[in-house]
Amino acid sequence: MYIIIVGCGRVGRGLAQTLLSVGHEVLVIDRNSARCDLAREGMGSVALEGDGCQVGVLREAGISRADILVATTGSDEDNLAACQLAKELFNVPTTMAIVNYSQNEALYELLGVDMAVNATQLILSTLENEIVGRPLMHLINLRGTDRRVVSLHIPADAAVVGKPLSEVVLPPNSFITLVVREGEPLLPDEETRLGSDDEVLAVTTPAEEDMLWETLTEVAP
Amino acid sequence: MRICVMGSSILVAFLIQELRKEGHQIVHVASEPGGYSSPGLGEEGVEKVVGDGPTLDILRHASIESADAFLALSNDDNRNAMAAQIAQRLFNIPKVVCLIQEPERAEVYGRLGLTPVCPTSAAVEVIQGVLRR
Repeated sequence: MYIIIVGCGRVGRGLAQTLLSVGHEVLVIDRNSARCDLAREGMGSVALEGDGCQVGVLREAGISRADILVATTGSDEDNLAACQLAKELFNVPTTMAIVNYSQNEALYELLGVDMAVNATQLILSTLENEIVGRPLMHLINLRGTDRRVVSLHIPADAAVVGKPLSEVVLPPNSFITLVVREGEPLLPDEETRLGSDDEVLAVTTPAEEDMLWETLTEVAP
Repeated sequence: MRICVMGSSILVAFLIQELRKEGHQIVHVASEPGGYSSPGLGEEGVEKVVGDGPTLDILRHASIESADAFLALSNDDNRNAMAAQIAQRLFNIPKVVCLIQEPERAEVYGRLGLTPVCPTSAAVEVIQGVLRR
């Protein structure tokens, strides 16, 4: 595939490296000549110096044959503009972008960016997971719905430990999709019994999240 | 009308002056530090919001939800396009205009339902008109 990356900071450069190593054709676009040089040093002639939000620059990059455009700049305004131009003017099938300010995530999706990656949210989730006493971690928001995938740790003294899933009453829009036990993933069914220290991946909604957490972690009476 | 104007340029300064003469209530979002200041044009009576945070927060701060019109006139096409789409799609502001310097981009935003103003095309047209005379 031909993939154009707008913005050659740490994210853009790292992504370019990964994509090249698995055999994709990659071009990074950045206004900053030092950043372009840095990319060329490690990866060869993969960088185009210019503003990736300008029609002429995108055209020079051969955007009409691109399969994917990924916007990784530190400005949501620039990322959104690059994706909208790629889509509307050049019919690029897939656009992806980094969300710098969390509150812009919904706007990206509303305006047609195919995949919005909320960097701040991802970092927060990871940190959240490392903080003792906060065993529910947000993994990803499911596009086009209000559902999200979360990860939960089942405490040893939870009431649900040892119960088959058929007897665990979850909130109506929440369900368990995967159980990770001692590092091994299991596809749960009705008969699966939750064990102490299991990691559970569940789909839930913002409104049901607290209820789900209580159900799965409440201490046995 | 309550009109929210974003940008700091000679265009913005003169526009605000003209709109005030017509009796409109103006909220000026001056988001670009070091932009054009307007000596002699007077900004008394104009509500001014200064901010350099995320566009969405600045517009909320300017109470954009109660505006009848939003004019995105900063010197940055990307910023104008995003702010205008926030105003139109998230806050349903009835009249939204955005300044887009690059002609081809102005067309794209027009197709996306915005009302772009392209000073480049306008100037080119005037100049060509003069040369054809």
